[in-house]
Amino acid sequence: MSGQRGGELGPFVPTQWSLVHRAGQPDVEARKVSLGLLLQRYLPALRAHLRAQKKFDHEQVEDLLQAFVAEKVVEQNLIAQADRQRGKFRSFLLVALNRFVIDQVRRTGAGKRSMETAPVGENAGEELVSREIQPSNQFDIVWARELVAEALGRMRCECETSGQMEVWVIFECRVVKPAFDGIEPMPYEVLIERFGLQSPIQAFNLLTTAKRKFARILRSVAGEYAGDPQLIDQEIDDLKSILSMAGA
Amino acid sequence: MQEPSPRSDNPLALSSLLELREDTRHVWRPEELGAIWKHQLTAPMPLALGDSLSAEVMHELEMLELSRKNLKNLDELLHGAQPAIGLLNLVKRFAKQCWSDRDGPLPREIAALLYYASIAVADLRLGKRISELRSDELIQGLRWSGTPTWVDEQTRQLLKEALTRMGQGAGDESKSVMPLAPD
Repeated sequence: MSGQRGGELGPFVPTQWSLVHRAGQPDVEARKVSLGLLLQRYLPALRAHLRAQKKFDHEQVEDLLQAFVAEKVVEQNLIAQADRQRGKFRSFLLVALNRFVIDQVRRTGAGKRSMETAPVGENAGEELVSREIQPSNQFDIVWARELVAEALGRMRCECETSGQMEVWVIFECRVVKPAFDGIEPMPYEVLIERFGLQSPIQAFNLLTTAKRKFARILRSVAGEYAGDPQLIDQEIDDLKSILSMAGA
Repeated sequence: MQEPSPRSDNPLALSSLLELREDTRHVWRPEELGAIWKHQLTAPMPLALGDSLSAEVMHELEMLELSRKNLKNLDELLHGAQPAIGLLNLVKRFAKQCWSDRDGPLPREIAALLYYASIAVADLRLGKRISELRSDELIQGLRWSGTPTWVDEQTRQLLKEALTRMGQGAGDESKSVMPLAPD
């Protein structure tokens, strides 16, 4: 579970760019751990991008991603080339993957089974480039979903470890499940009975605590992805704009 | 327990979580408002009126105990035969705070109903006007308060009686809209 990743790391959760920095270092062990974490965060979005935007099938996507990780990320130490001054890490990764895919398609040509449905031949690269021009909605949406899932996972862990499970449960039953699973929120009468609440104000206080906690954790996770506390609002605005465009 | 993973791909669902802010009032379904109102009426008085007025509420309750009156909750205050004017004033102040404050701990509809109910009781049972609202504003508020389907019959009757005492009939309640919180 994504939240348990944060839990296993203990109180220190590395920021995105500190992960990137460590993943680009020569220290093999530190590099391995940081790379693993980075890939865990971004592979779902890269996978969605290849499937939805580039129209590769499941096997092709897995082959390409394995090759990308092995050849570009590990062998050529791609992460060491990432530079926070030059933009967002997720944009850097996406551009690198797109270039790798174009090279790969040109290199393997028509003979390779895993590229059967992808564009091949002389113009294969150009065709993929033209697909690349389109905004990668799926990448962004999956990235946003991973970020929110990370925040939710951490919130649950934090509630567990601080003995505030009622805060998590009320949030899950009133907010999370209705939003994501389309089920009805836990009815008020059930809620007050389950938590032994004596007044509506107590119910409000529990919900407020839950929302405050989630908002704080979401900002913290967004900060890790942004790599700079000053960019948190921009990162959250990015998320909102990605999702509102996708939902429009 | 299931993992807290947003399984839905619906971007609007994700977006709704991003919009969450601590000062955003929770949205209750209309059918839940009846349960909240009932809970508010039966909650022990100090818990029903929150922390900000707790010292004044406790003082009023102590004064009542001295005069051998005992009001355990808002139901007894609003629907009992012997309401206490001090407590009605505090209820009105609390309701007004909740109604106009973005962070108010009660749904706006509940706060507004509590506000008008306290004024109606003071007028009907004690013959005292505890509101500075103009008569037309008060009438509009009392009319609206009896409109929602989740309002219990006893409270609805109370509001109707208050309107009758002010020389007003039920009016066209279907056109009744929730008034703005008073200044």
